[in-house]
Amino acid sequence: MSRQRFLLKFSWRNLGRHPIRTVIMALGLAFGTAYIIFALNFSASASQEIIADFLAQYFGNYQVVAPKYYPDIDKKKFDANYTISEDQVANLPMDTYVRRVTLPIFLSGPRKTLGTLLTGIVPEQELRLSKVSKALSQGRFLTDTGHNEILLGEKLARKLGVQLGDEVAIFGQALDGSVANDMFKLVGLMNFGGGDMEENLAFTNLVSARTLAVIPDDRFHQLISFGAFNSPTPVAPPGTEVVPWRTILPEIHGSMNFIDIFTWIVAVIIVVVISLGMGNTLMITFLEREKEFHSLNVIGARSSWIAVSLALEVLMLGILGIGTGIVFGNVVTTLFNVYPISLKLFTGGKDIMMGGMAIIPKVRLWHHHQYSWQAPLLVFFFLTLSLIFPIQRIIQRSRRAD
Amino acid sequence: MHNLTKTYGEGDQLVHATQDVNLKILEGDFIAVVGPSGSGKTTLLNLLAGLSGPTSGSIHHRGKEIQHLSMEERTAHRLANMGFVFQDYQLLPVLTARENVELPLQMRGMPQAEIDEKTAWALTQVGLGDKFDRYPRQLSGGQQQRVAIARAVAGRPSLILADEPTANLDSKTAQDIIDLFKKLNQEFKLTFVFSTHDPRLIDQVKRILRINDGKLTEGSNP
Repeated sequence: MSRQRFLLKFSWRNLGRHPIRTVIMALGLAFGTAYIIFALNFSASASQEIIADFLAQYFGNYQVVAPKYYPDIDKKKFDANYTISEDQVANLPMDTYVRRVTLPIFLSGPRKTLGTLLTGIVPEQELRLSKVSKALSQGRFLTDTGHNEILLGEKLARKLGVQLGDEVAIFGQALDGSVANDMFKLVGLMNFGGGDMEENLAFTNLVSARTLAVIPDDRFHQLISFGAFNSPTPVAPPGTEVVPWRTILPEIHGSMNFIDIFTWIVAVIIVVVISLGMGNTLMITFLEREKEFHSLNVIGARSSWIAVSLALEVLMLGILGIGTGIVFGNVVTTLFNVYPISLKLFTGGKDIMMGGMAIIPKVRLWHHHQYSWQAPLLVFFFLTLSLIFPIQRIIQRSRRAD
Repeated sequence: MHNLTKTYGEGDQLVHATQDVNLKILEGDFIAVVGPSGSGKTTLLNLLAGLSGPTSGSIHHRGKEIQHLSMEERTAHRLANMGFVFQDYQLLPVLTARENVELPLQMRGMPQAEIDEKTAWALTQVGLGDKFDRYPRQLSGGQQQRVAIARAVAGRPSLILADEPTANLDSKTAQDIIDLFKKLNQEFKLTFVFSTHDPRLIDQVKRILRINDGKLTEGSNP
């Protein structure tokens, strides 16, 4: 035990031989580790917050639908003929779900007739769970009892040539095969940041939508979850299918994955650059001490003893630097949890559009605890690589007879 | 050492660092290896220490044929049986006098109590009983060499090799160090082999080995 203590003491004091060099190396490790933890937390938090906000506006975390409702989900095709009933989903915890009816229709106004998607909603549920109502820019939101009231995106209303209080004609196909047509009164306009959603969405209440499309009172197309983001996807009740947002919006899921992977790639590049600098400094330090290693060998130090003492030096340096980095990285993450980062700083004050909607401009950083060990492990791995050359040299020298 | 030859290079460039050297070192010997620079003094010490292997011949020490040991085995043999004193002391700057002396004993895995006892004995013998906790930078050249000697003798090795141990010291300090070597040899029967040019040290040894062009001849002081 005293031998190990002696070795530890020896290695620890060797760190103090070039204090400035050691401090610089430790700071390099600390900043590298802290940056990686911060960057990964930022990326994950941004993805999570942006997606959560985006999904909360309309799509939800996952949808419960009839198995044939999405015949070709990659092309965003759906078949309004397939509905589900209240009985089928009765066992799901309803406090986080909204019910919707979705119907492809033609909307006719004084200026144009345009194809769009009419979504029948339960206003009370949407007000409580989704952010659909937040997009309301003029007029009022729907009510559960309102008859044939409609909300339109600002762009869509402009194209149709209608204003608040005007009526628009709707026609499409009801589920019984008949022509669905009726007049709806425009009670509110919605602003989705000027994106495509403003051109493609119209909302009415569930009762009006069911009446228009001849859908029975206990049936609807989608049961959409607005529970906690990334909450586990439930087992689909019999006769239904659960479709997570990743399946409905693969392009957004792909973009987020790309950002995560890109952040990791940048992190690895940073670690490699830091490690190259660190390895170079360590090599210079060790080369300066080669005569000392030789003397140690002469007085009886085996190559393994010298190698272990060097490894301990690097280990202690790593613990100091990386440990500081973990603390620093988490402190910065906490700081930006309390004071969220405004993404508008990076966009010149403009909204960020995603999937046709403007998304929240602020990102609150959350601790993703896996990064507190993954990032240090990555840094430590590359730091260890910097030991290979000096240790190899020590072993070669000790085995070479002149 | 039996018929020990060490050559470097090949063909026309062949150099005989030692040539058919036969030498027996007895316990309590006090030997100086002398000769001009490049004559093979250091090579002889390196062969004795197992730091390099002979081209032919054999070296027996403590029942082992050094030339047949691997480099790691030779290192272990040195640790257990030999002490070294260098011209430039080669103390570790991050360790105190006590810790420098402890170092080879720690590597041997001795119990701490035994290490403490041997360290105290060695530092007291070299006259540094009051400077245990000084770092090398806080000691004079002569004191550093004393620490190096304490490090070499603390484990009571059967052979102590010293390469030009007085070369870096002023005249008065060098004489003190020579007296110290002599005292350790006489009082504790420690065996010393010096490589040296220093006439004061050569005057004090019992056996003088002259080496020239790798060939060894032996003499002694009157």
